[in-house]
Amino acid sequence: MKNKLLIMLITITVFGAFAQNKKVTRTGSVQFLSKTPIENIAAQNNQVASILLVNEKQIAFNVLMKSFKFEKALMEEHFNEKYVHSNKFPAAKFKGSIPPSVALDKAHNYEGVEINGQMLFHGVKKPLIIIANIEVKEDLSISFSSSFNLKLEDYDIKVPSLVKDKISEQIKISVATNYK
Amino acid sequence: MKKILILVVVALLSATGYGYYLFQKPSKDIATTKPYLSTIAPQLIAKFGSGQTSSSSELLSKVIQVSGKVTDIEKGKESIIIVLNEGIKCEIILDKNPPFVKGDYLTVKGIFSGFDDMFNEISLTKCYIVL
Repeated sequence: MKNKLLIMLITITVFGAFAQNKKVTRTGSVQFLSKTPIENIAAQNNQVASILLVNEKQIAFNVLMKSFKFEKALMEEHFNEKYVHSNKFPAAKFKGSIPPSVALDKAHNYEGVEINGQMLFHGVKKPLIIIANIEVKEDLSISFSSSFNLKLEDYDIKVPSLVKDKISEQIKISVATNYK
Repeated sequence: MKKILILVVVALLSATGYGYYLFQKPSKDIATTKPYLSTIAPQLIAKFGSGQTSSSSELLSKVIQVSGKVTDIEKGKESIIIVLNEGIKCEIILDKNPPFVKGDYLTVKGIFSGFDDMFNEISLTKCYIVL
């Protein structure tokens, strides 16, 4: 009887440790904004999947292109069919490392954390450094946010010259996630 | 000659009008769209739940109606995600607490937006609860 109890206790502790190490969310949000004097184009995705490994200090995002929502149907269609070709490249992915100085298991607010990673977007993989705010709360839930720019040219996205002044070369991306 | 001119002007005006209508058209309203496919969660998972198959692109951007058991609920800032049969995640836009709990059976209608290979789940966007 005692043995059984002990085994149960060990199992619970081990699983507990696993659960704490891998924090996940499906409700992350990514916004993008193309700002030009003529027109602003914005879209939001509230279905971003993300995994945060507390011990390994790794963070990963998976963003489905088709989950971006636009105000106008035509913008959504053009985005998917003419620019990011989401049938061929359905997701953008980012994987990065959080510096060792950030302790993800103690309540603290970190600002301007440099995250070194790899971005896969439109079939092009490139190293990317983003600056993020990471807040570890008392209950050890973690909130993450970052804003950065992506250059369309870097990811092989071509903008026809006819609409060049309506679409910015630099797209501002904002990411926000909460992990429990 | 005058008649032709009037015809040309009318044609131009209607073309511009139609173009403007297309440009201003709001995104699809799921609630009133007839689903392209109505199915149950285990069937959808069996068919499309194993990643990027050629048949999954057939459903991309289409409105799908699916019934299943709620196995997980995650509340975000802007939306709520429910997971059906541990394999389909549906983004539902609600401003209050969801009127359902884990274990409930639901029918939802939403846009098939692909396969999330991080969680191994089919993704439905802009979901609307039918039943």
